[in-house]
Amino acid sequence: MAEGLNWEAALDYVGGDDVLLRQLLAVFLEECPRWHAELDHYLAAGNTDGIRRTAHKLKGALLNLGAAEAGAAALRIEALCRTGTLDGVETMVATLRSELDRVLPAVRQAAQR
Amino acid sequence: MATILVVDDSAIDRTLAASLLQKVPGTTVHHAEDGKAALASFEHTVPDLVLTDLSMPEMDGLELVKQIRQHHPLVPVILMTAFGSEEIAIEALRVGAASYVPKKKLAQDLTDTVRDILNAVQASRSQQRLIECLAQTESHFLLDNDPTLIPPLLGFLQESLQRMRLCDEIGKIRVSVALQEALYNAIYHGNLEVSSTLREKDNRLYLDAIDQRRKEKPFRNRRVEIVSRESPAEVMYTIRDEGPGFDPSTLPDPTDPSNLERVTGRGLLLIRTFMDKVYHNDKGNQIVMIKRRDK
Repeated sequence: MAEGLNWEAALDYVGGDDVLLRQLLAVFLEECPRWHAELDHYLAAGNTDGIRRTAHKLKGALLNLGAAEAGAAALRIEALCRTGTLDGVETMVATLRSELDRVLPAVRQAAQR
Repeated sequence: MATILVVDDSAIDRTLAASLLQKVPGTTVHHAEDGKAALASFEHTVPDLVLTDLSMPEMDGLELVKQIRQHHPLVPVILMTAFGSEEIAIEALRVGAASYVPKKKLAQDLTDTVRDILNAVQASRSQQRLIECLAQTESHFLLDNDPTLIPPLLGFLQESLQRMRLCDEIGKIRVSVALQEALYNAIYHGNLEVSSTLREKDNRLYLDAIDQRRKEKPFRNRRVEIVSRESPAEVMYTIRDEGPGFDPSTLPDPTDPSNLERVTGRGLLLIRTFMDKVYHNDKGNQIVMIKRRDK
């Protein structure tokens, strides 16, 4: 498995069904632009609740699919947003985006296995 | 065939949940992206079960549980929980969710949880259909003179009343009050032959007399027989003691307002008020009370 993904952990998450796992990875790739757009939109609006919800979704997807570093960044954003202020959120969103960029090649490769 | 509605704003989690649920034989899975869309879909199809995420835009899982509980109380809701949503999950369970599955354990636990809940729903609905066919129930008790058995007996009889759906909640309580009075009459005045005029004079002496006679022959050997017979039209309670009986015409007129404050005859006043028909046998040791179905 390429950098940033843990295939065994991801396979465990879907009960050992590799066909289903590839299907979920394909959905992940489809959803990526939407997550970016949501983050852009909520950041511009200063909407911490919206950022938190998107980060929550991303965190679940990333951690369950075995992308630990990217998942940790999403988790951090979720926690920051709970305080209701944008302090540090923008920086952490940038970190999350770069982690996502790092993971995407691995997801594309795994989705086509 | 069971219809399951999966509600989640994460396409990945919706896909996973739906794929897992399709392995449960006889299920059809529908999707909604948030609580609002889920409730809107009820207009077309009311699902047999809802599986929902908690953190969603528009309407979150907690509000969805509340709405379903209020408007579709027969539809069970299972929560999908994630790290960070524990508090809202507890609240959703408190307000009516049937169960929960952690998202990271969906593959292991979801199908079994859904199967268990669907089985429980099926059993409950089947029983409801069966109850609608219930033509008559009858219970027969023989009590000694122990008043501590009266509350559980009333609970039992209330359940029978509930099963037949003969009256509303207040009606059930009123029937219980009447039954309680008749049972105390049968034990204290019938079997133990302690007069309520003694209670009007001195309640302590009255209670002492009851305690004393519960231990003495012939009082202690006497039993109270209770028969309840419920049908969709009415319930009939027959309560018979083994005392010497009394002449009901000697009681103060329970319909006379001036007797309302008197201890003697209060029980019969309540019984006659709360029941539709009341009569005694000639000996005066048996009362029959009938309550008809609420209109």
